[in-house]
Amino acid sequence: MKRWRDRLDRFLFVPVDGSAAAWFRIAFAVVVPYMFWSGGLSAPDGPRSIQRLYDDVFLRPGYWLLALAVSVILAFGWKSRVIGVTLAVVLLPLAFAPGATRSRQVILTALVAFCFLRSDVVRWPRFGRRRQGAPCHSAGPAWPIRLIQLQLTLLYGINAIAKASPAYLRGDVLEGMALALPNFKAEVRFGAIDLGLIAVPVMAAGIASAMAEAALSIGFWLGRWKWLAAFFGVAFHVSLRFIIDIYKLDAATVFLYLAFLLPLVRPSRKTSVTG
Amino acid sequence: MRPSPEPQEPRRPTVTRSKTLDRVVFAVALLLLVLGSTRLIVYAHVTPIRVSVTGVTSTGRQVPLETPAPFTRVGWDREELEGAIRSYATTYGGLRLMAPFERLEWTMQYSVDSVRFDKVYVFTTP
Repeated sequence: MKRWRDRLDRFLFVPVDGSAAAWFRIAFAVVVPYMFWSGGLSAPDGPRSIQRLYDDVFLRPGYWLLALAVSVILAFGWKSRVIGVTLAVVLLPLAFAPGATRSRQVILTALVAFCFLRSDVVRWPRFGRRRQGAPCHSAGPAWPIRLIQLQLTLLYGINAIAKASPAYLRGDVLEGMALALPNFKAEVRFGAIDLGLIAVPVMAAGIASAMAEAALSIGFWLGRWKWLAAFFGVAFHVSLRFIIDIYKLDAATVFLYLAFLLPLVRPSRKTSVTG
Repeated sequence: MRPSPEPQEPRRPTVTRSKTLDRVVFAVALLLLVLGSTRLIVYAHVTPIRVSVTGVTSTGRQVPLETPAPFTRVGWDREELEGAIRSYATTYGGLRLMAPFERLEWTMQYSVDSVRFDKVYVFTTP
C-alpha cells in the first residue's frame, strides 16, 4: 500500500521544470488566439439578452483582440497564474459559442490546469538541455501537467471506445457520414473510401480509425515510444484531413501532445522518502 | 563519528501548500474530466436522413411533391432539420408549395449508424 502511495506521490508531485513550463506557457499564448478566433462564430441558443451580449461584446473583433493582448502578457511570463486565470475567464464565453466548440473547450480546460503551475519562475526558457550544476527552477508539482496528459488520453480513449461499435467497425457509420455530413470530404463508392490514388474499404478504414485512437490513448505513456506516438498521431490527423474536416479539433489535440513531449516532468529519484 | 544521514528526497512542491489538498483538487479535476469526456466523442455515430414531402388536399388525397432544394441533400440532425423545415414552411417558397393543399406531410426516412433508411418519422405543416 505504501509503495503504491509513494508511486502515486511521485506521479503527482515530481517537480515541473521551470524552463519547459515557460515553453508550454508561450505555446499556450500562441495557440489560444488561433483557437479562439471569433470570426464565423455565432451566439449560442438562449435568452435574447445573452445573445445580444454575444453579438455586441464577445463576438466583436475587439474582444478577440483583448484575448490576444492577455495571451501576449502570458507569453511574457508576468504573474503567469493571475494572467492565465484572467485569460481563461476572457475565453470562457467564446468556448460556448457554437461552431467547433469542443476544440476550444479542450484548450480552455488545459489552460485552466496549466494555471496551477508557476510557469513564471523562468521568464524566458533556455534552448537545449540544462547544463550540469545550473540552477533548476521548479514550476510546481506535476499533477496539473498530469491532468493535461490525462485529458489527451481521455480524448482518444473515449473516442476509441465509442468507435468500437459493430456499426462503426463494419464501416456503416463512415458510409452514413459520407452521405450526410457536409464536412466529409472523401467520396464513398462501392463500399470503399476513394482517396484518389487508393480506395480503402470502409470496414478497413473504420477498424484502422478505432485502433489508431486506442493506440494513441496509451502510446504517449510508453516512455521513449511517445515520440513515435506523436509522429503517428500527426500522420493520423493529417490523413484524416483528406477524409473529414474536424475543424480545429485536430490542432487542439496535437497541441496537447506538448504535455508529453516537452521535458516538463523531471525524472524522479527513486530513493524512498524518509523522515 | 556520527553516521551520515540517509539521502533524503528533496521536498516535493505543492500548489496549495498541502499535499492532501493538492490530491483532493487533482481528484476532483480528474473526476470532472472523466464525467465530461463523453462530450468529446466525435464522429462515432451518424443518423442520415432523407426528406420527402406530400401535399394533402381537403378530401384527403395525397399528392407526392418534389422535395424543396434546401432539403434534397441527406441531412444528419433530425431536430435541426425539422426546425429548418418548419421555418421554411412559413417562407414564400413554403407557402407557394402549400397553396393548393390543406397541409403538407413531411416524411423523414432515417437510420441510426447505417444507410438503410429503415425508420420513418412523419410530421405535418402548418
